[in-house]
Amino acid sequence: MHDHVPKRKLPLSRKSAFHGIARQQMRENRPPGSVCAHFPSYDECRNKFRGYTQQLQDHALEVTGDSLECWVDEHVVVDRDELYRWLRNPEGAVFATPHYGPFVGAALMFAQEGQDGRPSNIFYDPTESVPDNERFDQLFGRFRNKLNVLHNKPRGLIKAVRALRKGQCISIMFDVVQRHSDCLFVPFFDKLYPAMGGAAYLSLLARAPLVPAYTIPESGQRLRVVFGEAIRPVDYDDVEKEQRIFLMTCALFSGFEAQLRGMPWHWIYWDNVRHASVYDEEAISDGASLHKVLCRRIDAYPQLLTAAPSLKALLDNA
Amino acid sequence: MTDRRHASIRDLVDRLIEKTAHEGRYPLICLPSMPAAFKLLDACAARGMPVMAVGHPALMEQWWQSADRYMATPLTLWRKCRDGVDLPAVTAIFQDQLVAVDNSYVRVQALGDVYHVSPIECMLITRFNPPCYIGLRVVGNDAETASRLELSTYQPKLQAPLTREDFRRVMADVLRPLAQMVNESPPDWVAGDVFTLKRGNNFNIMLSQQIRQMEALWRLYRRQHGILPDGLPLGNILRNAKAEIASIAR
Repeated sequence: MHDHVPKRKLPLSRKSAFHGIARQQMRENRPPGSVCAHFPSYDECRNKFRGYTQQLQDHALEVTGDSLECWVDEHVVVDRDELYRWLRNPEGAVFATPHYGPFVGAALMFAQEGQDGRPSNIFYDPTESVPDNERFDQLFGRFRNKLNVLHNKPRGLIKAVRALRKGQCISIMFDVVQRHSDCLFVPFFDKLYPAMGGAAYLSLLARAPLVPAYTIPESGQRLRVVFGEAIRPVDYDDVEKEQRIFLMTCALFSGFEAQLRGMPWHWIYWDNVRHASVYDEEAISDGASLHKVLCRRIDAYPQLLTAAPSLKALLDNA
Repeated sequence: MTDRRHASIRDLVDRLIEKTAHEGRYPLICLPSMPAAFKLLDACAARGMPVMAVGHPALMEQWWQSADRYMATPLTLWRKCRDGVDLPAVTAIFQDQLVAVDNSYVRVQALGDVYHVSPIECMLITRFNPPCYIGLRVVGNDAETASRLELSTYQPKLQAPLTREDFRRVMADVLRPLAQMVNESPPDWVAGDVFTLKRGNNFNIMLSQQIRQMEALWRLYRRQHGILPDGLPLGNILRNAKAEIASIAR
């Protein structure tokens, strides 16, 4: 027998299955039933649009510095007025783009809008965290004079804030968590979904609006970039920083949920939703309900009390 | 030595009864948490053998109807039998369910990773030197068939005082079939999700996630009502709890 058994990395969301868990069957990676119910031809739409997306993504990955302008002109459809409204915003803008449709095409559009002295900026995890991102490093490296690649490290974060404070724009992907040890949890499809507050944090630091951007494949090898409702830091000035980050991230995911309810086939991380913890709005209907739910969680995970004795104060007040 | 043949539950119970009669002692069995294992223990009890099972009581109640008749935690089991000469019953250990942060759990380097384990198997083997088996899952005849169980005879040859190396060796032997099952992901391995918490820092991360989810509920309450529940500084409590979990040195 070998002493070392090959490790299989399970998504951390599965690891929260400590109480009341039924073992999951084979992964289906489908939206919740409540979403699919509205789309009897979901599978057909998914197959069609995933095909478009794959073709566009593959094509986009081959674009060079010389062919960038031509590719964007030929393949990208966007409301230019709205795009420039944000690109020319004096406070800059944080474009929050999920892994939705042919998102690489939107990044190319973004790169195309960069100029000497006022580049676009794209912020994502380094290859040390996500090895697959090496292909993006190779792609975006071809547009160095128009697009800065900023990696999700302390230095990259500082550069991102500086860029925003100069009125530049940043694109950041917000829908997948790599570091589960410090993520937030926000309501998303009746679940408490793990989310990073990075997009909101950058927006707050630089006072730049957070602008959701979604990429939708169309026939004819084209993609359309649509913008969601902007989330402005000034609207959250009446609460402290941590609550602001939380509320802005909630708003971001609320908009994303609305987008997905209309077109669920463009997103591939439904499994993460399936494995997330259930969120019942009744839990926050009043103070007594909230207290009850929190105490119930401690009862379900008695190790919480051992690890965090401060929680005893909650039980003492029950 | 591995006794590798496909056997029914009845066959396995027959072997255990025969072995018990021959040895005059009840065996220790390390089992994965799955219906085949629960059925095995039910069958042992039905044939008149006393049974004890060590796992997580709250989880077992959901997975195994008869659990409350046989269940014990590592601590309660140890207290029950430590003064005896032999194990007082067929003793099953479901190591895949055992997760905690208290000092009874030990970090062990095994199978190329760090696991947090209860040392209960080693304690019982060192104390009583019982006949031992490790339950191995074998695949059913087709994808629709539940997992079957085989019992592999296990002779770790431990003696007091237990050395670190011996402890590491035994835990590697106990964990190996479970670690293999992580790759296979059998649908009827009910503790599969729990087992992954034993590895590395996963348990701490899980606790941290629990606190963050509680914090999320509190923040959502604030968003809706704009006020905190009267008299209870929830924000401070949760903030302190987060800091306490973050500081756990394991």
